[in-house]
Amino acid sequence: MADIVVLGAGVAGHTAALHLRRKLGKQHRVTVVSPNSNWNWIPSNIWVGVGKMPKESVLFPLAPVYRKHGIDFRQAKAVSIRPDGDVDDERPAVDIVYTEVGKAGQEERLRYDYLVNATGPQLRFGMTPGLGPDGGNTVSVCTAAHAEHAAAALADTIATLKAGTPQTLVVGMGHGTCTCEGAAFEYVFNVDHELREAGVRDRARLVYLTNEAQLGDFGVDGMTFEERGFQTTSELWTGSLFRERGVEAILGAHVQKVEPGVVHYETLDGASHELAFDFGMLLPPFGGVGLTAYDRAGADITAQLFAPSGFMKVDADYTPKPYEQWRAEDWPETYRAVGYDHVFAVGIAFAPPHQISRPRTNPHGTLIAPAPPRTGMPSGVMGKTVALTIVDQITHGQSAVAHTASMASMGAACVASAGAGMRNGSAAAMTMMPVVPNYAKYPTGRDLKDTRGEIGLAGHWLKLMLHYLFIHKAKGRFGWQFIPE
Amino acid sequence: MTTSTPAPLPGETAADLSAAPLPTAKTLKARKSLPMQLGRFAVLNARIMRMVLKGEH
Repeated sequence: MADIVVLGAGVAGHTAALHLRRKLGKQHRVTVVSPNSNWNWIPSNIWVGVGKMPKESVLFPLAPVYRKHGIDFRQAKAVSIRPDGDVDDERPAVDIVYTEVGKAGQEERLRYDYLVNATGPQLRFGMTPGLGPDGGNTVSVCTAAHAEHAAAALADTIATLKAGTPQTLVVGMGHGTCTCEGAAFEYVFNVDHELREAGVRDRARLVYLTNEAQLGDFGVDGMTFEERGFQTTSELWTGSLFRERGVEAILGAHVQKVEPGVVHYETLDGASHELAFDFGMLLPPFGGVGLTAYDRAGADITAQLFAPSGFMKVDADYTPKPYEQWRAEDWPETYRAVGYDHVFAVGIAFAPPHQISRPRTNPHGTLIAPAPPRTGMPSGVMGKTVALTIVDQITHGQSAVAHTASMASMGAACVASAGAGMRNGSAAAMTMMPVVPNYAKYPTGRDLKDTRGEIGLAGHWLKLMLHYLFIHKAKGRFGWQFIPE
Repeated sequence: MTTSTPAPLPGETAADLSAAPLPTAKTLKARKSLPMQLGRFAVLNARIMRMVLKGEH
């Protein structure tokens, strides 16, 4: 009998848990530890954030799903890992603190044979003074609750516009090292769509403020597309949409602080600027959730397992080297933690070896570099991959070869909504293969046959279909395992 | 009370997008055409499935 503990119930952790349970006999125990009681289909938070979808449509309770599938669920936060066990027991363990109503604050030490760290990000609003909805001066769409709050603020702004008062709306990244540029891109065009539907677009100034050095970078160093016999770039393709919709773009920006109604930011040339705004949705930078690690004697080994960012170090090449020397092979394949073959980190929780986009610093030494995205489709693939590795090791023994899923060999689809509506919606649908460019294999870094972008109503239908499909899958309903990650 | 769009402040650094190609009226119409978009929907799904199947994992 083996104990498998999965920390986190986002796309990566939830996928891993469902596949582990599906593949392993009932004599093995699968336990999920998540501080949240609900599962959240985060891509649709964009629609919650403009009031097109209620919060309840992107959330469902985890406990009934886990009960139905025979998965133990602890609504708790993981705080420490003890991969060598402790003085009482040599079995590895993880310390958790319950967040569930009625048990909040209670501590427990869970023993494990295999551990999957899928804890996702800590939203580090605090890295930029004045950023965020909790005591700050901007809204967010990172959680369903944040998105609901953003929708109310946007409705107020639209009401002010309807009353005839011009407004400036800024959407983008709240720090120079943010990731998820695609989410901000989606939100700005959904806001544009809402303003047009409300008949107030002509009174609104809409600004996209980003740490990307070029439009269309999306934290993946941009893409090259082949269209009608020519190669074009995601920069030109994205710029076309901004120009068509009249959305201004401020590029290469690091937000220093947000005061009520004013964003202070510096740019790649080192200059400082201010942008007055009435409505601001700026995403925070991500970090690890702050797990600590101890050896059997109780000595702190956190720095051995985790990068300074708080993300877990896995089978990647973390040797510092210049951008020109970055290789596809630097990226992890098995997601095994350094020195611990029974510990894995997937999704946002693993430490990337470096950025994908070229990192830049301005003359003041401020790093302005999009962090690599590792959400959605890649997260699900990683979760399934480590689940299959664990299943093989339990079933066939320790010599079973680990399954692999490098971001340098997997593709991703990014369907960026640009306005909701079955007849008048729109989306920028992009596919890239692979996520991390492989210049040794492809002259443009990616396979041009599978790296494409197109804008249109079909993209909106696709995003809506994915919304229902992935919620069906996450609920573990009939045929869920046949829906690809 | 004014009804014009707020103007950028001095020193703001919006990117110059004047070189970005604007879609033609035909392209904009095609993006909303139901028959055409039904076809594109099928193509998009096929493209994603091919990418999923090609992924080396």
